[in-house]
Amino acid sequence: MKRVLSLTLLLCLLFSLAPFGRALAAEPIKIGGMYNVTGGMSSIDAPGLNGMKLAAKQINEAGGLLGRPVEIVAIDGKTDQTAVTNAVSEMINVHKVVAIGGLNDSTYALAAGPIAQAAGIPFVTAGATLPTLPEQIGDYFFMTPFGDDAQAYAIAEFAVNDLKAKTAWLLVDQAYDFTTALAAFFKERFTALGGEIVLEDKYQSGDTDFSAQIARLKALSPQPDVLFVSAIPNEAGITTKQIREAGLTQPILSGDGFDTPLIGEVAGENADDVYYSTHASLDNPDPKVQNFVKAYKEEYGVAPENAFAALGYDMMMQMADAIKRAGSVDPKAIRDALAETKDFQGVTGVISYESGKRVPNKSVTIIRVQDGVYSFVKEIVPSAMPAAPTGEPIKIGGMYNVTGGMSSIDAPGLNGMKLAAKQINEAGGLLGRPVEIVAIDGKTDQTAVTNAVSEMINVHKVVAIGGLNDSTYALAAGPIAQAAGIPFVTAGATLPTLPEQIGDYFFMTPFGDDAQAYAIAEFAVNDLKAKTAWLLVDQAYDFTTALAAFFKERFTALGGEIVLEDKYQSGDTDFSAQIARLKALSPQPDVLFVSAIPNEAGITTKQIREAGLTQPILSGDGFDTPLIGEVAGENADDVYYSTHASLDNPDPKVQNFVKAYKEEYGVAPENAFAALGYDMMMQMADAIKRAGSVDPKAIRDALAETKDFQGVTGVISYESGKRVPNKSVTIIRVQDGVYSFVKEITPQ
Amino acid sequence: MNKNALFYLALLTGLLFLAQSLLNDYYQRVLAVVFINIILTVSLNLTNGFAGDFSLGHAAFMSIGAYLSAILTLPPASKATLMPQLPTWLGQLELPFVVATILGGLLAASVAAVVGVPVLRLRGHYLAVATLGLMVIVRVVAINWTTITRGAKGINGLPAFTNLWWVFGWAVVTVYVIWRLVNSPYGRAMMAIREDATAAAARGVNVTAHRMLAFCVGAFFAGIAGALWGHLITAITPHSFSFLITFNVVVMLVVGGMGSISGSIVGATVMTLVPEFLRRVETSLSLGGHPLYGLSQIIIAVTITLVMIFRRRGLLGGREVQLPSLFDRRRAAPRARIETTG
Repeated sequence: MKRVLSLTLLLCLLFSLAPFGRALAAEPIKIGGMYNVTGGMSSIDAPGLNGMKLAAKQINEAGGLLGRPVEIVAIDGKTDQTAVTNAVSEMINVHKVVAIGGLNDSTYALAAGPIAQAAGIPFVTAGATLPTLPEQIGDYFFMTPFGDDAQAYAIAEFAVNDLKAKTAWLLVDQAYDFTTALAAFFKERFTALGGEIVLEDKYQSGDTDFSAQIARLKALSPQPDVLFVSAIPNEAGITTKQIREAGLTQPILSGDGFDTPLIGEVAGENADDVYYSTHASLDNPDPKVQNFVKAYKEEYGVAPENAFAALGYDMMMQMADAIKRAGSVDPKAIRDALAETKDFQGVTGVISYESGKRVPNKSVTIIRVQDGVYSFVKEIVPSAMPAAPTGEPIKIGGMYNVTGGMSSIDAPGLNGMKLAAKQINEAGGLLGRPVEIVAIDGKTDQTAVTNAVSEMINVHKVVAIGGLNDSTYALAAGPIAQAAGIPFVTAGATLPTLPEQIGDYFFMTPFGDDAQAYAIAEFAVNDLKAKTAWLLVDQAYDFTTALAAFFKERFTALGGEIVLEDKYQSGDTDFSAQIARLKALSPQPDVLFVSAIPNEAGITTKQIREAGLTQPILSGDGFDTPLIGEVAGENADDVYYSTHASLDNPDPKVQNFVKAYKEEYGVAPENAFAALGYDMMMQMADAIKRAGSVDPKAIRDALAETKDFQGVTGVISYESGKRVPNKSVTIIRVQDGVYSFVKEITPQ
Repeated sequence: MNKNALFYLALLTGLLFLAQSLLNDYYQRVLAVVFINIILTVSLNLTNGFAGDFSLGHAAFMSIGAYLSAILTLPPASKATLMPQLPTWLGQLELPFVVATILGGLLAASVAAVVGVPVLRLRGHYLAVATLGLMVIVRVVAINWTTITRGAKGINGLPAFTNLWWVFGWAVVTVYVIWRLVNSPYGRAMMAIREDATAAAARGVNVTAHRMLAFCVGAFFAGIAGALWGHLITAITPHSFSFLITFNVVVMLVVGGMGSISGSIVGATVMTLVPEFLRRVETSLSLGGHPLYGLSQIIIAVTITLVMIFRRRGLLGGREVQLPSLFDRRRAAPRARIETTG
């Protein structure tokens, strides 16, 4: 205490001198270094503090943080809960630290964490591995190490994949949360991978004789392939020794409780074929590890005693990274930056806090002990086990016209969106929270649509809205979301100027009409070898006139010629005048482009074919309707149209979606809009994951950065600031009333 | 305007202030729709309830009001990109919302006059058919006059001028004007025409002129409502003003009770709020995991049927609600009962 006091006094003196010296101009950033450097934990905590101090030294040598030096305020916790809590309180209230790191044991972390949490000071544990710590303590608590679940999964995966184990014996220390949880996680993953636990035995920490357990193990026939011992360092050596002395030669597996020199020391040459999971290996040839080992040796004259030295080092470096990104030493800003830690390259692995969790999804190091010698085997990133999403649901608006004129395409869209949300929730939700779709019927009515969007935003507090397959409704709904600062992703409205017209919170999942018109024009010229085309355009819709204009543009650019451009009004049922004018053409055009909405898709095809014209009929996604087959019957021949997806596409993404949709709703997806609804939701989920937050602004920014998103309807990337994707267009052919997939085209 | 009416107006204004500060955007928006529907219903009541004609032209007049006001309020910069072919003087024009709204109403009234001159000489259902025809004509013009209306694309990005105060103010003006009109010699003449046009003519009432007056005033306020609606939704297309809108207003009128201003207010309020809240019910209810979309429409249809069976003359049966008098000691003299022919 005296030293602390004198240190404090010295610091005070330095502060008072600060204005006079340039070198000392910057006030240091104080970080608490909370370790038990004396007492039972000292063998792992002292190296931890050394690692932390080494990191601070390197940071200061490299110019400090935000132009200020880092100062570690290290107070000994004495392996005593009261002393630990007092120390944390002193760091916060007396030394005014901006963040605290340290502690390698969950018991002490559980005592220290809540004090920092209450004071609003971030606490990063360097080595406590209970995966539920951040949840138990609060949002200011972070973990540098992986959780016990991760290491147990990793060793289970190693057992199955590398050791080809099919059966396992379990020996579990009943005295610790750590050991029982580790065994439970091992069992969970081992059995999930097809393994079998043939016997689960137990002991109490402090036991020295394991003959009864070993006798029961020896009685097993056939013998299990691997032996998993869930122990703390105390029993690591003795269990290994007694198992091997009993003549059992199977690989012995464990977690980081085995990361102790005791195995070699106690079991001697019996320490054979022992594998354990831990945070880092000093043998790892990775230059990050080797540089750390070298620096540690230079600083302290010895190699890092264990992985906790590396963890202390990583913890400090991770904190520095967060402070740099925060650009501030405000504890709240540091906390927020810590929560956004992504791809931090540590000695002990890569640290990212994904989906709002504050336990990193890190690589686990597997170490082998052979003849008493420890060596690095490999690193494993365990495949994350989806935890059931908990907490407040993330509300997303599902804005569709499920009744009225749009229902035939909007209802499947909503189904697709809901299917995606269901799959997201089954896979663990978003940021650990479930997704809830707030679906309100727009009734194919502009007033109802705008009311619904307003209700979603103001009453249900949705963080984003998706849906709508028609530009008219998107133009009514979009501005409300835009004004409220809520991202809106249209699932199926294809007017390419929508995002420009509405604003920067508006995004499109489908391609624009320009893209599909270009694709079908390219198809006409390149695949159908067309040189001349006839155009029939519905004058009533923006969609149809724009589609025709884009087709014309690309077709003529590719050397084609539009020989006649004719028109009609949606609702017309007799096309004989237009067809007569077409028949009068000589020579006949190579292809017939009909720019229509679904209503007229069937009847135009029928009347053209009945007039004896046999040229290929081309169109856009307005033709994506069963009506062609239903109305034109066997006249539905040689019709090609562009659309968002084909259910016949053999791509596994498409087939998995079709299968899941069938399972959920009992029918195949009715049209491409089901797939678009699904993609829209998945794309939104992707953005929310990347944003790491449900703040609408953050989601908008993440949406704008959507890149190579693999959807059922194609790959979505928003390039050069556009919010219309550059997507592949699917070409479908109708032949004898049967629809089939032709190819995918990414228009130039 | 007596003290009593002023008191209630002040009370409503106070409540509106409260609503504006307490309610979120969604409820304010629904409230705005309520007021727009009050304007539409009360103004349709003048023609259909008091003058005894049956007009179905409200959607057409709304459309006219909405389009004209949209073109007048759009900033020149937007017009340059949206409607590059607009005549220069119109492209440069940017009028205040209130002026644009009134001009929208006036154009609607002028169109009503043009349609009314030939049609209102006839008796019977001719007006219904003619106004239905007008709706089709207006839509076709809106679709094809692309230089002005952008055709089927519609005009979007209207400034969101419409707020609670505009719609409330216009609703008050509508109710006041129609109330004064109905309780003036003009109104009495309209009601006389409604009851028996021949008898009214025999008493010296100019039947055509009075029917014209009712029709044009109704159209004026429909145009106003259209302008307000356009600047609330911020996007209008020729398909926005369909028969469905007319039908909804007629339903509000019938449910509230034809020939009663307070009935129109009640009808418009009920028929706007009930579907809105039923929609929330249908979202929360589900049958076998599927939300019961469309349930609200069914409930409304059934309710209207029931109202028509049991209260054929609407909720208020053609009577006016008398608000309790606060300043006059004596009870307000009961106003002459306004009976409808149903």
